Amino acid sequence: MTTPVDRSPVRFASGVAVAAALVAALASGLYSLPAFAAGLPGVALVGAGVGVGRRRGTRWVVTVGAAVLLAGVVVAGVFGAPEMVLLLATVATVLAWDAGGTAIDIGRQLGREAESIRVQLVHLGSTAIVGGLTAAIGFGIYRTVTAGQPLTALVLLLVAALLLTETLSG
Amino acid sequence: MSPRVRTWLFVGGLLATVLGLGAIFVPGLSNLGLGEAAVPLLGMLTLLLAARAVQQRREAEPRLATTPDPEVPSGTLPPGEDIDEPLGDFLGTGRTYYGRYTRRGLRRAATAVLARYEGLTEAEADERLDEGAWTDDPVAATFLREGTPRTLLPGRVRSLLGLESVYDRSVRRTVDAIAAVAGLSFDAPEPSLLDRLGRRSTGASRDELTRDSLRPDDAGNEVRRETDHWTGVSVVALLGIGAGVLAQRPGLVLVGAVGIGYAAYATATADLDVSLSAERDLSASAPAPDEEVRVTLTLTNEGEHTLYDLRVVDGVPPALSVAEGSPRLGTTLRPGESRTVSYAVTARRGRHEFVPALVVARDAAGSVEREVHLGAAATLTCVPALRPLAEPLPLRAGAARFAGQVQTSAGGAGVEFFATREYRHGDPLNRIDWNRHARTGELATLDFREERAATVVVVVDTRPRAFVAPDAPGEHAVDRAVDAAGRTVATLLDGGNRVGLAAMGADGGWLAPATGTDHRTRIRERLATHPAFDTTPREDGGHLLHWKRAFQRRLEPGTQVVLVSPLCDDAPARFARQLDAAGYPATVLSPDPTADRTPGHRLARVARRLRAADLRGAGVPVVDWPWDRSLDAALASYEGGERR
Repeated sequence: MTTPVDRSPVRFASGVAVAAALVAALASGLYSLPAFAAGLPGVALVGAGVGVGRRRGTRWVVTVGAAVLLAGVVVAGVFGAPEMVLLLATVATVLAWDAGGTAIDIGRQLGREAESIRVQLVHLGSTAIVGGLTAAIGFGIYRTVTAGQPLTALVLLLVAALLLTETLSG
Repeated sequence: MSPRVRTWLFVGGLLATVLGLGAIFVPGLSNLGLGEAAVPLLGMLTLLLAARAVQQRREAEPRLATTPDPEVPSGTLPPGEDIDEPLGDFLGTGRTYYGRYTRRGLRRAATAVLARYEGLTEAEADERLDEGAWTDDPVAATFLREGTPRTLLPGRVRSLLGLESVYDRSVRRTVDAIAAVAGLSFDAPEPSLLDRLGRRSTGASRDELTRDSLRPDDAGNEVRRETDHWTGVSVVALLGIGAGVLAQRPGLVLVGAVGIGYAAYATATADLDVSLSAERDLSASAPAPDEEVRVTLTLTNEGEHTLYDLRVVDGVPPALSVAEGSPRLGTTLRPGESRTVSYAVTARRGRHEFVPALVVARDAAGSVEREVHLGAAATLTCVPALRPLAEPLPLRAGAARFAGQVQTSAGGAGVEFFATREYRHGDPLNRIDWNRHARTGELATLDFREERAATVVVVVDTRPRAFVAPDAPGEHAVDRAVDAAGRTVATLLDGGNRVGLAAMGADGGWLAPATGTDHRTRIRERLATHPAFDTTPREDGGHLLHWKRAFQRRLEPGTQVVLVSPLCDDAPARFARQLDAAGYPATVLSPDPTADRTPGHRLARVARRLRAADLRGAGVPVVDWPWDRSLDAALASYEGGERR
């Protein structure tokens, strides 16, 4: 009754973070051993970041874990993993990062005992949908454009999109 | 980023768009502007940008609204949580800094205890301390005689080994030795290494107990902030594209495309327009103490957009604790939709106003956050019934005008037999000792003990220093004192006395002595809901001297005063003696909130015991009310003032 509020990361989003990290590690790890070597510590870091086995979550640990997972994805890409797998691993990595941070944030603001499943579902759902959509669109464009078009064109367009996004952000 | 950099990036972006489109639609163009060497260069540049984005993320400290803990009522510390407090009382200087005056303060405490319990004069006590003959404990004797003893291990080594410092140990042993002289012993074990001297005994520091609660004036304040939740996601885009170009892997470029998608998602924030309404319902607005009251806060989205991310913390009144459920909720709300936060609070004496609820709203991506305070007025008023005492109160004998409860040493009309005397002409027939007349034929008159009404003012110590309790959560000494005052008032009014009320140090608490049902109701309500008797400490210290003068001016001659105080500093004891000396007989009723976990607690207990003993020595009765017993039990075991 008078115990302080449990402000550790919320369970559902934490679970999603760890699961997504596992998916990312496995997807990229299947195609190259170095990527797998990077993936496992990534999963461990994300898990530690959302406080598995401990009480409090730490955001920067989750971020470092996601960065390690991303490095794994890049390594897998360099070693020639198929596009679909890379896309899946990327979306899973971003989702793990987002879910970890969200779990920690909601835990800090509302605590573990409060009902917050709706917020978690909506937030993580939209992150997954955004990832899926961009992956699909990107893949579609890639398939149509690279039929005969040089890679340079695609790269230029992507860089353009990136620069414009950066410019238009806050 | 600066406007100039932004302009350049924008121009670069446009240029890249034109070149990219050109490369697609004019097949020859790709070989013109961008040779084979330009592509790796582009890759390197992108990687550099990725490094910059990583740096940005490292500098970004994700910001988010902090929420209070309204579930937990603000806690109360035991007297002497800071050993400087009782030390300062002994030195008569207010508070001291630990270390500097500790030894002097402890010496003063030892002198006072020896004077009271061994009957020594101050000079004799000093001599005993200098000889070290006052205690069996060599550490304590040495400490008060010459200071910290030398030991084999230097202080630094001891603290490295996690041992209590020599100084702290000396203080602890000295306090226990002083307590032993005062007849106190503690069965609590030696303090563990963790709870070293005083500071961190309850597991909660002063800061943790001062609850960061929502305040009524927070209503309407709005804060908008960037959360930086997604800062750094562009690393995915830049790293993917850079590595993809350098390694000639189209798949990695696609990874970059996903990154761009997220970067765009993070920045594509619609204006976060939060228009919410709140309504609060209580299952009972005037509950009995300890009754559970269900609170329902209904939030409705009055705007035209869906709110994807709402985090709500309701403003539970500071003195109440949540018994069941949680006053927090994370939810989404479509336009016109309503959701409720439902929980139960335990009612407690007083008038409790709910404070505005804190709502933290975020957009779907979570990049922008807005804090809104939503007011929904509701008040919970809990007025406990006045229950008379089961045991008599040791009021002082005194003269007064009305038939009532105070026993006098004058014979006359009454109930209890007092004496017989010779018959005088005009004595009422019903008081003639007819048995004796039958036996001897003489006429004699029975005298009964005269009981007269008294005028009594009950004073409750509600100064900030009276807010103490042996354990942090739950009832504190002022709660107990107010409860005791209510019962005292009920008993005295039932006995036909005129009773008044006052709060020590607060002018607002005064009610002039009177009798009757209306007056009883007035006192009951004042004790429960007046700010002077609040369950949380007053902010201002108050001018005790002014208050005392005003209070004495209000007293009629011969008025008795019952002071209810935990006696945890010198002011109430001094006040009781002053009243007594000024001709207002005083009685002290004292709940005992002392603890014994640390030397500070123990010294505070010694100090309180000394105060009670000094008061009794000055002829003021003191009823000591141990924390774990009922007031009736404390009164039952009170015998003529010499209870130890």
